[in-house]
Amino acid sequence: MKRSSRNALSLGLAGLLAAAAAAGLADPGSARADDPGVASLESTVRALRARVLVTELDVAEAEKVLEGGDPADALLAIERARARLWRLDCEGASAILARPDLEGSKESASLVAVARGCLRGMAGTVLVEDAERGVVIRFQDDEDRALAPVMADVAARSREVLAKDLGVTLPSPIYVEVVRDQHTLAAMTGLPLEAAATTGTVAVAKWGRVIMLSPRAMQGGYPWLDTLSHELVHMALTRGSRDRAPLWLQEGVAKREEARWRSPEPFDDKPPADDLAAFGLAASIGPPIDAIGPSIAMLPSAEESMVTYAKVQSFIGYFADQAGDRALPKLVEAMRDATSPDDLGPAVEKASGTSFPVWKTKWEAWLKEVGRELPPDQKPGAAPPPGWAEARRRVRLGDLLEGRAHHEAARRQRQAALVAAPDDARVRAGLAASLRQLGDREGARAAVAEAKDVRSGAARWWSLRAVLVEGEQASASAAALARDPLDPAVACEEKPIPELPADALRAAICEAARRAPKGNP
Amino acid sequence: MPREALTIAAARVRATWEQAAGTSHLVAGIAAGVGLFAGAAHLARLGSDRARFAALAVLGLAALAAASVPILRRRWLADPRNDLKDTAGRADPAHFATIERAADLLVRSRAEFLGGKVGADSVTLSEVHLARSLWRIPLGRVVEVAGAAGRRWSTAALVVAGLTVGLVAAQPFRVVEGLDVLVARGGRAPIGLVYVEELDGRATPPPYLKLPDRAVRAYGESSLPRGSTIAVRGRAVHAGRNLVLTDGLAEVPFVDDGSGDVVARWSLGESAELRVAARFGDVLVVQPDTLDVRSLPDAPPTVMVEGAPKRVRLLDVASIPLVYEAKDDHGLSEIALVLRAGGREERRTLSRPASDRAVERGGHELSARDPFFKKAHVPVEITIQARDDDAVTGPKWGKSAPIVVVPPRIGEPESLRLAALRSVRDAFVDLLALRADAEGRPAAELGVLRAKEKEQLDAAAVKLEDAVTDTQGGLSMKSRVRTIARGQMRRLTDATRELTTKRTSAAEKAWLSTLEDLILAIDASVEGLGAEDTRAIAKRLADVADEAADASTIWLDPAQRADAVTRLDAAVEVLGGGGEMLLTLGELGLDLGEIVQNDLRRIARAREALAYRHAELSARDLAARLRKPDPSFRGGGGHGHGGGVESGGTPQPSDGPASEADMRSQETERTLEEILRDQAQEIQDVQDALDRALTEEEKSELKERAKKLAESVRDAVKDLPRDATMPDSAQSKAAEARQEAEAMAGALEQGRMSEATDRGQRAVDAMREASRRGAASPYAEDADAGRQAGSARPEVEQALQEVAEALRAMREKGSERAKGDLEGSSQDQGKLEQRVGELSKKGEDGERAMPGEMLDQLREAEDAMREAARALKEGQGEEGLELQEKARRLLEMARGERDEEGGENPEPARRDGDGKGLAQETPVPKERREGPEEFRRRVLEGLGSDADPRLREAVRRYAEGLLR
Repeated sequence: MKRSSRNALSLGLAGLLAAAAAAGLADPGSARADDPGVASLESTVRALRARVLVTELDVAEAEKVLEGGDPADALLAIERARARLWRLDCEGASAILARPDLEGSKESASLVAVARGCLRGMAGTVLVEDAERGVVIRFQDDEDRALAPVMADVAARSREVLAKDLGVTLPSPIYVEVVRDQHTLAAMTGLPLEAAATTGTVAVAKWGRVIMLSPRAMQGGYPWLDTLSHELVHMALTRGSRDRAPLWLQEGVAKREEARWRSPEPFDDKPPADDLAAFGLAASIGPPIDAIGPSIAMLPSAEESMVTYAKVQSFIGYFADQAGDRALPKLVEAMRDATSPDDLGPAVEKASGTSFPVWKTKWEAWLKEVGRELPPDQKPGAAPPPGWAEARRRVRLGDLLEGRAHHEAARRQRQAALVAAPDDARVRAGLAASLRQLGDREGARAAVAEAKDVRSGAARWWSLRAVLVEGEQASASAAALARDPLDPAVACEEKPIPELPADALRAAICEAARRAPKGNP
Repeated sequence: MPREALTIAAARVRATWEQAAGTSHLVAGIAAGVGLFAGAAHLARLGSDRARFAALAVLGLAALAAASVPILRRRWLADPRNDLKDTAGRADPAHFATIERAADLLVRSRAEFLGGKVGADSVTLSEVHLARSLWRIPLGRVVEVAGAAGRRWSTAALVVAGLTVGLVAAQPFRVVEGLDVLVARGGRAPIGLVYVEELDGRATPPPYLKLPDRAVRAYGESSLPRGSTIAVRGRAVHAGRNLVLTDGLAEVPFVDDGSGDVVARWSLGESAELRVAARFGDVLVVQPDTLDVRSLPDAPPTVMVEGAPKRVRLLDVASIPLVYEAKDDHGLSEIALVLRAGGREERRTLSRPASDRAVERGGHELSARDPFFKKAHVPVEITIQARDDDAVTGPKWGKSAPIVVVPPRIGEPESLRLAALRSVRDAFVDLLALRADAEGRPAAELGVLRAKEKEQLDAAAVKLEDAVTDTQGGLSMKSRVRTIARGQMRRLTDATRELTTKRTSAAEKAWLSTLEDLILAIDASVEGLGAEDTRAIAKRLADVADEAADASTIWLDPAQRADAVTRLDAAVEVLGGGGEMLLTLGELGLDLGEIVQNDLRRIARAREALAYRHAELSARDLAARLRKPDPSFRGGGGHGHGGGVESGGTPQPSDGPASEADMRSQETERTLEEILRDQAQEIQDVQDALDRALTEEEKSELKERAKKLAESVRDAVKDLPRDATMPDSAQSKAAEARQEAEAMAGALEQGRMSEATDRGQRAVDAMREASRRGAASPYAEDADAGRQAGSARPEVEQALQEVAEALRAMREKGSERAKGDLEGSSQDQGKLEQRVGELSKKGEDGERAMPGEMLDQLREAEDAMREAARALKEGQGEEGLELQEKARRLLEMARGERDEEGGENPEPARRDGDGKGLAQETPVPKERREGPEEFRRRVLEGLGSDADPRLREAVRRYAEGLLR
């Protein structure tokens, strides 16, 4: 950490003045009325050192630097608030930012909004600390506490993987906040709610921590553990590059690394990112990878965000393959040593021997060669397959009949649904559940036995595989949990009430799931 | 030697002096002392603190002088030279100077002798000289001067004694009073003195008691009603005194009664010991006798309500009977029904008994749909309260034991309504399960409903009709859900008929498909209605969450802590109940219900840690969330997509509704609204065209007539109330009637005849309703308002009829002239007819299926529009107008009664997959929202008019629906 501090100071005079000028402090004469008061050079340097340390997620060291600084200095106050916000002390940050001299300051405006949003959203919530794994998780909904051990495990594994793959070790503790809805996500991150709702944002790595939606926020859950890992990659890149990594690098590497904490799954690259990227380039969907804007989450549609993810993932994959395994750590390091935005382009060259525009051109050419035509139903914005409406109808009728314990009638509907949508995992899971209920274990097993039969995995499909397909129990059960941990059937390993899973952690999750069952009665 | 000589000489001279002067100076001193004493007493009588202090000072100084002067004098005279000076010195000052010199010489000689300066002879000569001087004192002169002094003292003594005697002898009682006042403590003299004799008392009870006067014993105890006036009369013993009657706190003065006596009138409040007293400044000298009066207070009324106290759940009762008996010891002035919920209270007068009635019995039936309950989320305390007629201390209320009505939790009626709809869906799901294998049955069984299936079908149909007809917790089913349910049921009924008549595999398949459509349509309604209700309930709960936040804020003020805890507990209870209800309202309800429950746990956690600031923040967070009652997660095209991403995903088959019936029904509602709005505009256009066709002369004639009618209308409603505080009361209706009638008069004066007719009809309707409510109301003001409205109605009806006749006559004249305009309207009417035709066509089958009755009404409306278009084309303005009105009434009947809930307008369902969204944005109608009242009015118009048989039949069916 000391090296980081020295590096911070070695940013050079130009960087220092630029930063000070950005804060409106370098030239007292140019200080605007709405900015904090004129600071001394000593305070400015101290504030900048703290800022760099906070960016590198070294909050404790940053607070040491701020110790003994002029308490009245506005710039130092902002950095103190920032450090507190980084370690989940939203109340402390809000209290500091409530100083009259910081009101209206552009420096503090975004911090104020986020600190207040965090304070309101997380008042009276529950904090879980896993000292052994170096993870602190705050849950807006205390019923999610049972998920903490699983999350801590994933965070610890991701830390190891990222240290190896990127040469960046995440700090300890890692801070994670699990919020109940997109409203709180927006309030705590500053992301506009409408943007989150347009693209379906589920998590953001910002303000020194991961802020993610609870899987209970949506019917059917989402790949929340991969999402956690994805956001941790962002944090690692931010730390490793001092927040200088461009968005294409951030998102591309995050997509590449998000699933590396676990064993590969059959649906990890479905639809293939290269094919999707090729389709996007051909159809001009989404911006070029170096012009994504402030965030993929702020793109105008879910389709564009999906294609853009595929593009950056494909590009990073190509880059890593062509430049070698060590290229990514070198690139991150080169980014960190950059002293201005203009240095980012040369950083790519420094790490790989080739400039970014050349890489981009080569990648696009390669993509044209290797990109395969996507199946029609997997194209972004494609019309649903012909049997879609019928499948939906049968699925719902099947659910309603199952809900009234008419298992045979439900089976008939689900069988019909399978005819309409044979590659849908949820349809197959429904049928398997009916067959299992009717005692047809073999039929049930056949419905979920082959991964190639389905387009993508679904929690219940994995969960039923865990109990029906020999040799798959551990991996399928984990895959199910990684998608929808609060579906009682998934959480309880398909056991009837009041039976609980043998594993204590799973049993706790099962009990939480049963306390607040999901479903559409 | 010299001192002895001087002493002897002084004694000799003193004896001579005293013999000659006598004791007159002592007499004078005594006389002065007595005089001062009497004077001080008079001074003290002034009664002020200053006067009493001054009197005391005088007496003290006199006593001091009397005690000290003799002593001091004796000490002074102990020196013989002083004694000689007082006697001989006053008689012969020159000789006394000689004596003094001789004495001094002797003293000096002796000193010099002792110093050896002179011999003994000098001393002896000096002694001789002094002796001779003493011997030569002129005793005659001493006798002479002493005698003169004695005479002067005698004179002074005589004068002082005379004055003193005069002062005391004239008003000896004043000295006694003065001395009494002088030693008073706490404003009260220690010794009681008699000032009024022959005391006599008479009590007059307060007029509202209507009791006779009675004599009161002047001394001793009496019991009198509070507010009585006691006249105490007697003869003043000493004139010129400021006499008062007092209880020690208050005083009333005695005044001359004109017959030589004095009288004081005491108004009795609390029990008192009354005494006569004389006031001297700040001091009262009280007569020893007391009149002990016990005040009998007017007790507050007592009220008994049958069965109270008790708790009832509002959802369990249709009404709450209140049978009461109120009693008072004197008389009752008002009986009121009082409803209180939290800080909200409403009083309704039930009766105003005649003032002498001490007992009032009555009964009142409080409807469970009372508006007060609608706004109450916390238990409502119902009491009957009675007010007495106490004019003295002010009227007092007595109240009964309470009946506590526990209102439904927020969202409970909606939850019950949704449960009813779910049970319908489930009943048909059970039917589907029974018949799921029908296609595989033997051919002989094709088209045959087994007994159990038939039974289930009938039971489900009854359940459906009950669910859409009955109210749940006061809530009726939403109109669009009624349309969906009845429309799909019509299809199933038709399909069942086909099935049992054709008995083919195709019919079997069609029947199953129709049943599935019905299930999914109702299922979509369940989700749509649940989401709609969730949004409305969430916003109501948001206010409660804000209340919780406010309560948490005031907790920080120690003075308001108890209040804060009470408010916070109440808000948390309401939120808890509402949250539980949300959980039952489908996917969105489950989502938001969980959030409510979680945030309540956050509040509880903060309270437990006494971190009320965090409790407030949690509550504010909840309020903000509930004000945006959207799903917790939106966007990304669905969920369950592969890969851990921040956003995006591909949709899956089970995303989105399996039926779009709910969305289609909303579309139908909106289309019908648009057609109705356009039809109203068409009618207005035709009316305007006919009005424009009138000549100036005709207009002027009409205007003149209208002005007169306006005057009579205004006069008729002038006694109706202008406003009313109680909603849904006869008073409010009467006020509305007045408002409408005055608007009618205004429109008449300005020549806006159509508007006048419209407003007048509304006024008449409101009057009719006011009369009805007044007759049924137990409240006095309501009954009056109802009667007044009933009296005013004939006049307004008469005016309406005259306006209608005048208009009809004029329009008939104008039809020919307006032919051009009417032709244009005919074309527009034709287009509207087409739109109605398309709507009814769509409603025949599929997800938009409408109930048969609605389809009939739409078709009849289509016919009426077609005929109206023809009449207008032929220039038959009045006939066209009537047909247009008929079409409008039919359309309104097809639409049915609008939902009266103040809930959210349902948002159009999310477009999904291959779903076809709305073709266009629906503009918001700018016209005034017509409520159910308006609808009833038009129907009643239809009932009262000579409509054709088809319309009459439709009206009859609607009226039956209303009755049901």
